[in-house]
Amino acid sequence: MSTIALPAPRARRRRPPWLRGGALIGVISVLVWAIVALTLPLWTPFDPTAPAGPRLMSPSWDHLMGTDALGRDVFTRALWGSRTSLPIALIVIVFSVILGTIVGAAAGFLGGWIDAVLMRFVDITMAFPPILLAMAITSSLGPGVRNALIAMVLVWWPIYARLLRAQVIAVRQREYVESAEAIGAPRFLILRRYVLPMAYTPVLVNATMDFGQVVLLTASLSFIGLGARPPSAEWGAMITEGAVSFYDWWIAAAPGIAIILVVLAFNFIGDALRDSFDVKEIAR
Amino acid sequence: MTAAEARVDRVDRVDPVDPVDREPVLQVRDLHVTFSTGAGDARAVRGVDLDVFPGEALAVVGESGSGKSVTMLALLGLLRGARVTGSARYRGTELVGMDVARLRQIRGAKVSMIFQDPMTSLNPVLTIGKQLGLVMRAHEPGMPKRIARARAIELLDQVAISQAARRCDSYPHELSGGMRQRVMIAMAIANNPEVLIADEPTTALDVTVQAQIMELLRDLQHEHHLALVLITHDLGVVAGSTDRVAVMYAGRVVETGAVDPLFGHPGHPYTRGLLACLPRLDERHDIQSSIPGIPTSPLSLPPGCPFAPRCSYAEAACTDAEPALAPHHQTLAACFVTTRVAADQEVTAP
Repeated sequence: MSTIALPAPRARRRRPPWLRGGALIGVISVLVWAIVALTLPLWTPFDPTAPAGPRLMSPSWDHLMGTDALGRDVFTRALWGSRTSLPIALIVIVFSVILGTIVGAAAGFLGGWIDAVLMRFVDITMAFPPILLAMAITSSLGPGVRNALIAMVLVWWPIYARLLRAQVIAVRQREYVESAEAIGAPRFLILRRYVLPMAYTPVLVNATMDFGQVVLLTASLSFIGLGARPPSAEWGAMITEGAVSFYDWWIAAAPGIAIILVVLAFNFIGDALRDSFDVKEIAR
Repeated sequence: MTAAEARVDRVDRVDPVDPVDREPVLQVRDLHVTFSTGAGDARAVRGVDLDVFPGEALAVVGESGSGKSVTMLALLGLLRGARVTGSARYRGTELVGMDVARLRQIRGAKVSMIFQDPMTSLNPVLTIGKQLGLVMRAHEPGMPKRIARARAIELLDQVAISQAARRCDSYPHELSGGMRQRVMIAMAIANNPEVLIADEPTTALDVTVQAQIMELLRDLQHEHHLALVLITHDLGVVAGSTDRVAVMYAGRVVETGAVDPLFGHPGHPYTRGLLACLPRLDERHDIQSSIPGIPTSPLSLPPGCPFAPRCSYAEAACTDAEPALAPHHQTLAACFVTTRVAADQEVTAP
């Protein structure tokens, strides 16, 4: 008689997927960035907008990332940039998701001409490259952080609308939705408690992933002078300043590294979220 | 008097139903359902007449695609993109063409419906107590949550779910198929409807569980004086648990009557064919008999009787005109050759 060796049961409980591997790195770095952004004024030795030493000094122990053309500490300014970029990205994502949810849910759930009209708006918006459309809207409203923010929301929401619409249409045809209808549940209740919870995960995953993209878009708008204006410490604006004095590489490198770290962190988290939600049918 | 009314009179004469309450709770007359498809109009239901009397159990029998589910979905307004004409009345109120807001008041509270697959018929993200509560509060908006919960537990108890109070906080995936169907039934009767339409309620379940669910439906039917419309293709289920049968083929009722006469003396060759398909314990069958051919497509119906191409009794007249329901023995059958079918029945029946 032969015996089959069964693998020993795992003693250690597995960590939730969003705390494993890359996702853990992502979560930690986002937390660190958040803490830095919130507590920065309490512990930075330098003022981000006032000269802190000689002009254009290369990196040293006094100035970790050197100083810029006006003698401001580049490292401090790079950290300070998070106080602009992160809240902007958060606001843009939150408002885009809200707008996208309303439009997508209405289009997918109500269907018919409402769907057709709403989706044509989405199509029109998505026909343009986001950066181009954001540039056009910002420059017509006038440069500035507030207008850039409005422009980015207007450019960003259609993604979520389209995503949610497709999901809502798929979930709406599930049998449990039909049987809730057969028992006389009101439409709004069905949408809110039966359809949206099962349709929402892709939107959440995408929103997390897009956070990094919006940070990038914010920087891009500032880089071409449509977002934050030069004196303020914003990553895109800083890179513009660095581009002027090209051989003093640290001026542009510091904000560049900051952008990379933030974007990467959110991509890691988004990836893990997608993986953990991939088994969407798990609760059936 | 229209032809439809004349037919009703005959139904009344032949159907042995509770004589006290003769007013049908659901009355379907000349119901047509048509779907527009790329390949033309699919006529899924073509002039169905049905009566459901209070407290009775009616079985609607037929193959897949015979229009039995579509008929029921149509009268509750649950079909999207279909053209529904004719009449379906609940206690005299016309349901066909009624606006959705008013229909929603009927659904669940007056006429309720459960579906085939309990595995996918419950909301996976809500506990069953919550779902029951939502359904009750949909019809009684003022009901406090505490009372809804108490009532939910009571309902789960009624459908014989043990430890109802604990199960109330379970999610659907924590329950077995049979338990989920019980929960579905609890949801369907939560608002004390008069009619419960059960669309193949046992098809997705184990045989042993099927019997339990049927028993539960029977019990509830008697306790609540509930009219039960059982959509099924399982004639074994029909015999044991219903009072009347309507056999559907190609979107029409081809035979209807009380269970015993219909099973004993089927008038329509299709009914006979269905009965012959039933395996019997007391006879030896080397080959399971079946009705030859495939059901007609609702896209291209043949002229005359839609069953004629598959019918061994078919004669020339059958392809000329479509027969209407006419009395045969103690049932109504839509067939020109009932006498020959019946004669054949006498010879072959033991």
